[in-house]
This record gives sequence, C-alpha cells and structure tokens, in this order.
Amino acid sequence: MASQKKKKKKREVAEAELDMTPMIDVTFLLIIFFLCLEFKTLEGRLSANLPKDVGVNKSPAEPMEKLDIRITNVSWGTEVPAEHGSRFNLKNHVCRWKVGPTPVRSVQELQRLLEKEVKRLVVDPKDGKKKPKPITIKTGQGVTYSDVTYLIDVARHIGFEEVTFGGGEGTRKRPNAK
Amino acid sequence: MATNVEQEEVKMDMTPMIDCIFQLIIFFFLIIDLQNQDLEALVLPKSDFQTPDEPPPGFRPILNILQDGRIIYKQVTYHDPAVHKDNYTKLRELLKTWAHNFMKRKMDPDLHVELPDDPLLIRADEWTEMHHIAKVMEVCGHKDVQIWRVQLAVGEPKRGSAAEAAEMAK
Repeated sequence: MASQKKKKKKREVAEAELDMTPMIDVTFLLIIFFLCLEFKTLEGRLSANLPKDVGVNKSPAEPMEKLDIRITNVSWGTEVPAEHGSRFNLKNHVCRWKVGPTPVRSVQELQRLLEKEVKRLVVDPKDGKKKPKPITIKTGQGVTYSDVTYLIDVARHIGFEEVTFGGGEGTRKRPNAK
Repeated sequence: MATNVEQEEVKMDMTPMIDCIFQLIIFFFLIIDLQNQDLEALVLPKSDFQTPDEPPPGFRPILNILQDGRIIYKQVTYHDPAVHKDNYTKLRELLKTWAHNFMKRKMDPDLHVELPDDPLLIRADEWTEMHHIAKVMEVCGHKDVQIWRVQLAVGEPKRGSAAEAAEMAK
C-alpha cells in the first residue's frame, strides 16, 4: 500500500503545466506593435520660407544675384498602383536640370556644376556678408515634389544655404484627360 | 480533538495583469496617434538635410496635398483641381482665417507691417506634381494672407539618397 501511494505522488509531481498566458500576451503585443509600426513613420521638415514682402513692401528691394535651376520632366514614367490605398508609384520617372543656361543630364554633372557655382560668393545686401548665391528652383510640367526635394538635398550637401521657388508651368497634360 | 487544517499559500500570478496593462497602454497610445486627423495617408519624399519635426508650441496647421492635387485640411477638401480648376478662393479664405485669427502676429522690423509668425506645414506625396505645392505657396503670398513661414514635410533618408549620390560623384 505504501509503495502504491508513493508511486501516485510521484506521478502527480511529474504533471507539469505550462502557463501559456504570458506567451500569448506577448505575441499579441508584438502583433499590435508591428501592425502599427507602418503608420508611425518618422517625419522631418525642410524650411521653405517665402519672401515676406510680397504685396506689402513699398520700397524697392535691392536686387541680389541668384542661381536659377530649372527642373524639366523628360519622362513621366509608368504609374504602378501602390499596395495600399489609391496611391501610385512612378517607375522610370526621369528629370533633367538646367543650371543657369547650362543643360545637365546626370546627377554627377549637376553636382560638379553646383560645386563650381557655390564658390562664386555674392554680397547679401541685407547684412553685407559674402555667401553662396541663393538658388531659385523652377519647375516644368510633370516635375514632382520628390524631384524638388532631391535637388534641395544635393544643393544643401554642396553648401548652398538659401533656396527659393520660382513659378511653375502648371500640371502635365494627362493622356487620358478629356 | 485537534483539527489538522492545512494552510495553503495562495499566490497570485501578476504576469497576465501586467501584460494586459501594457497592451492597453500601447493600444491607447497608438489609437490617440492614429486619430490624428491632420495627417493623410501619403508617402513623403526622403531627405538627408531635414530637421526632425517637432510641432512648435504655437498654432501650426498642416495642409495635405494628395497625388491628384487635392488639398486637404483635417479631412476636409479645400481644393480639388478636378472641381475647382484654378479657383483657390476656398483655400485662400481658410489661410486668411488662420493668418488673422489663429496665428500669432508680429511686427516686421524691416517692412513695418504685422505679419503672421506661425508656420504652415505642407505635407505632399512624393509623386505630387510640384505645381500644386507652388499654388499653395502662391496663395500664402496673397496680400490678404501673407503667411511666409512655410515648412515642407519630408521623410527619413533612404539608401541611394542625394547625399550618397553626391559622395559617389566625387
């Protein structure tokens, strides 16, 4: 009898239960975390202050030499529907630049040209200090926001400080538009 | 007649409760953020020379510009190129209200006029045509509005960015 009781006790001890609750909880936490990660994209900003004197300045502004960069869209590319929502992404979207009167066909060429231009300092009439020419970005039809931010990035990397925006040419004519 | 009462130690497992609390904290944290109606679902272009965006203490409205040129503020469309064509009156009225009623105004020492001093953030999709953004800037410069502090929203840099391309060109 005594040996039977011992055996029963041993069997009871051997039955170990695994508590799955914390594991399931953690799994849910991870699911929620990764689901929501997509929405929480980090954002930054670029300052694009506009001239303050539009429509209010009564005294004539002192002219300052600027460097005009014109972005032209060569090929709009193919609109590929994005995975989520009604967005599309562009494939083979190609742009070219014109720095002053000089046409530029590649990023490398653009960079070399801007490196030359950044060394030509001009005097700021406001404070009399010498600094690189302000850049005015002008955009043609079909030029996108990402083309412009790309150019700003290249210009800032080279050392240009001030970027302003010139007039555009409107939106591109859509082939299927009525 | 002594009774042999076995006193069992009752242990409470706190793990599930703590887990649940954490779940709730994360859930509400994210829900509050997702409920932010200011932000439309669009993809921003990546930029190397961005400033991390921290909302300023004052009033800073966020205008969203979608790929088709629709201008949206707090889920209300203020300009739809397909409907309004080149008429930006509705948007101009909105900006005018912000500039005169909500934004802090400051006397400009050079121009001797009061101008709105709070910024406006423009969030546009990476494939939005620049023309639509330039139009918003044009309305900002209107004599009745004169919002001059404009910020462009951009995303974090990615591989193959402008800075990398510039490095490669050297």
